[in-house]
Formats: sequence, structure tokens, C-alpha cells
Amino acid sequence: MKQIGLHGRGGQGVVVAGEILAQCYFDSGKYVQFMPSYGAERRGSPSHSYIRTDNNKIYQRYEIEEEDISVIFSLSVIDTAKLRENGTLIINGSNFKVKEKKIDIYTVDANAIALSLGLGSPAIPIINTTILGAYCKVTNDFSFDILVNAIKSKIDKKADLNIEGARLAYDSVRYL
Amino acid sequence: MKKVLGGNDAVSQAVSVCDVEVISAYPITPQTSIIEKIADLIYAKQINAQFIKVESEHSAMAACIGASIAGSRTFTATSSQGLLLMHEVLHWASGARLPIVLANANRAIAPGWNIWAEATDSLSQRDTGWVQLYAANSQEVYDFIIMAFAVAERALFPVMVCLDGFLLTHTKEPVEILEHETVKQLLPKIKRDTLDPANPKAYGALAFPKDYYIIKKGQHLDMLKVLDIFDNVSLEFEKITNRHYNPVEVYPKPDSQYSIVALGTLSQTARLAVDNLRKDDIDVNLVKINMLRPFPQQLLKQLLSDKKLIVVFDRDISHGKSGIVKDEIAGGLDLCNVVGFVGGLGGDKITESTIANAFLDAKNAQIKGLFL
Repeated sequence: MKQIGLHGRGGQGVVVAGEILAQCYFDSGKYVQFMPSYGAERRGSPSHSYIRTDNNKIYQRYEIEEEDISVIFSLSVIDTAKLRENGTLIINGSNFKVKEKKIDIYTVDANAIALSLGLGSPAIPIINTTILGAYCKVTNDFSFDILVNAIKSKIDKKADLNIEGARLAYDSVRYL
Repeated sequence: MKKVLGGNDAVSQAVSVCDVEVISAYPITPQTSIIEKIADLIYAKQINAQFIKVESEHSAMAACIGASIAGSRTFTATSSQGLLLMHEVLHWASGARLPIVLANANRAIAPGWNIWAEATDSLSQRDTGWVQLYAANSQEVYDFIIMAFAVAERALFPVMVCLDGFLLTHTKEPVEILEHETVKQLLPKIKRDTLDPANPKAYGALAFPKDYYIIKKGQHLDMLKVLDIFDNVSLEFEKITNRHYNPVEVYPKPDSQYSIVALGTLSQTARLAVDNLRKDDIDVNLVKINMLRPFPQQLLKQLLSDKKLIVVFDRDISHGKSGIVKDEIAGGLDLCNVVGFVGGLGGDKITESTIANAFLDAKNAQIKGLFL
């Protein structure tokens, strides 16, 4: 089983990203379970969503305890990720320097990409679809076409711009 | 066709293929997205129904009663404090033998204020004369809602379909959905006694002790027949879906020395605990309760009467006694070898190792207390 955590702030599209990601795994023939974090969510407050995916039916009915992949929409909530040892971290950001690292870290400047396409506002760029482009490239768990179809099924407005954002992130994500 | 749906999506999708005519409901977390989606579907003309907006859950159930007496197929959804506010009217619905279907998102009861999963809300309504079904995943939610209308209209009892808040209402997973035309076969319009302006009559009139006693006795005896009606509906449902449900289910097989009993989403995690315990050569199975009312006594007796020990897990509590399901099992089957644990209250986490460890404590007679 693969367990994935998406961590950001209300308004960045953390929950919709989780739904799209769940759809991608479902469309690639996997069993999938998607849980949004729940509480008094609002714009700006920490927001999380979690996905389990497996070749077999999933029976766990509790929050994920350890993530194989953590996707960080905002560095300010990075401490909420429950990444396992040797897990994979995908971070929205640029100009990183790390002294030493024991995990695989990938970065993508999703804020800049989303803003260049007019997705969200400078205060809160909506980066859900963009960062999933990077996720698709890093994990190679499903094809970019599957991601495009999942975005189309979940996003009514500006679907083409969201797909473009995903494509730019797919091409620009880099290994740190 | 399969879609990725949460429990709440599964409810609204199921309602959309059941030819429901009247919906009245009041929003409450974590149920709200059910009636929001239904309102959207009515607006998009995908459901041909009246939505009666009200100022409280008490009024929502009152409106459903009026609509159902008038002959309409009627649905509502609520949760926790909302269900409790309906309490008095729930009795009026069952006493009038109205086939209303209600989806309850199981949520803890205040204080302290808490919006997360717990089944005390609906379990505390088990004596209101409603049929109660407890779903463990989104597929069961979808199927139980459709079956609920069939059971309700054949038995003339209201049916409550319960789904754990967030753990089920908001957790999305693949669900096989049905065509409207397919569901129609299961839900023919059944003629029943309804309001008729040409032949006026009163409902809920005064009943003196002798008459009242006859009415209540009849209600009880008819409620027991729901077990057979459920089985018949289940067989018909299986013909169109290849999915079969019993009031109680057992995993992986009935024959075992020990049993773990649970309902709702707890039964999903408990299934993993059973797998792990069996890997360690412990002869235990899972008895999963789908229907709590009417109480499937014979079926449970068959499954549980020969066990060395039965361990019941409750995400609910009757203060001053025990978990409610444990009490139902021990009392309802006159068994003395039942141990109960209460946990996960207010949405607290229960994992398969929590369940397996508690089971082992009970098996080794090292129980530290009621709470997990």
C-alpha cells in the first residue's frame, strides 16, 4: 500500500488536489481511498488530505500514520507531514539549499507557475493542479494523460489553464 | 459503472435514482453535503422532487411525516444534535407506519462540541421504532439507501441508514453505481393507506390503554417481520447487482473459537485485526452487524452461541453501563461470555493493532478497563 499526504493551507486547493490524485489512481486501475482533513477548515488555516492506494481493497478506517510521499503546498506546514524514513518529499518552492538530506526531495515553483496562468491570487495562488504535474513526473505512477482527464473531470472553470500549469510543473520539477 | 464517491456522495447518488418525491432537511456537519448535492440535483432537474426548507430538524421530520402520509416517497438526512432534536417526531413517524428513509451521519454528541465520528447519536434512537442499518463503506451506503426504500415501503416502517461522520461521509472510494431503470425494478410504487381528501380521516388519535396496547404489540410483531422482508429485498437486490447483504455478516467463516463484533467503519478496521490475529494462529472471526433494529437475534445466536469468548467494540457509550452494541449482544442473546471495549469516541483513532491488542487482553483475561 502507498500512503500519500498533501499539506498546505485553506485556499491552495489541497482537498481538490487529493480528489484529483485519487481519481488518477482509480483511473489507473488501483483501489483508492481519499480522506480530507476535517475540522474547522477555512482560508489560510492548515489543510491536509490523505490518500491510500493499493492493488487490493482498502479496509483501514483511520487517518494515515506514515506517509510514503508528502506533498508540501506551503513550507509553513511542513512539520505536519508524517513522512516515513526514506520517503519522498515534493515541495512547492524555489531557491532551496539543504545542508544534508536523508530523503529524496523534489521542488517545483508551483506558486510562480500558477500565478503566471492567473490561477488564484498573489496572496493565495491555487496550485493544486500544478503541483500534481510535478507529482506525476516524480512518481511515474500514472501517465500525464490520466492526470489531464482527472483534472477535466474535477475542474469546471479554467480546466485548460490548470492542465497547462500541470504541464509546466511536469517539465520543471527538479531533484534537490 | 464505478465512481470514486464519499459516503455522502453515495447517499445523494442513491437518492437520485430512487424516484424520491419529497425531501425535507436541515443542514448539519457532517451531513450537509448530502442535502446540498440533492438540492443541486433537484435544480438541475435530475431529481424530480420537492425540497421543503425548514428551520429545524424537528420541523424537517414533521414535514417528512406530512409528505409521507400524503403518499410521497420521502427522504431526509441529519446527524447528532439534529437527530436528537428529531427524537420525539421519530416516534410519530414509526407509529404512523410511514416508510420514510433517513440518512444519519454518525457524529458525537455535545458537550464538548465535537463534529467527528461516534455512533451514540443513532444508537440512542434504537427504541424509536425505526429500522436501523449501519454501513461500513461507501458501497454499502449506496446499496443500503436503495434497499432502505424497498424495505420501508414493504414493511411500512421508517428506515435509518447510518454512516460514520468523516470516516465514511467524507472518505472517498470506488463505488459501483446503478442505472435509474435498474433501481426501478426494486422500487415499484406500492399502494398504501394515505391521505385522501375524498375520504377524510385522522392520524395519531387518542388510544385508550386496551387499544394502545394492541397497536404497540402489532408494531413490535410487524417489526420482527422486517428481517424476512430485508432478506427478500436483499435477494432481489442481488439479482440486479450481484451484491448480497445479510442483517449480520461473518468474516472469514462462521466456525471459530472466538468472535470480534463491531458495526460501521469499525468493522472494516476490525477485519484487518482478524486477519492479523489469524496469521498468529488465533481462531477468531469478525461478526459485522448491518442491521441493529429489528435485532437479528436468531442469526446472531447461530453465529455467537458456541464461542469461548465474544469481544465487542463500540464507538459509542451508554454512560454508567457500557458500549451500547456490547449491551445489545450480551443482553439480546443472554450470553455471559461477552467483553466490551469502548473507543474512538468523538472521532478518536482506532487501528487494527488497537483492536487486536484489546482482543488479546480479553482473551488472556488481562482487561485493564472498559476504555481502549
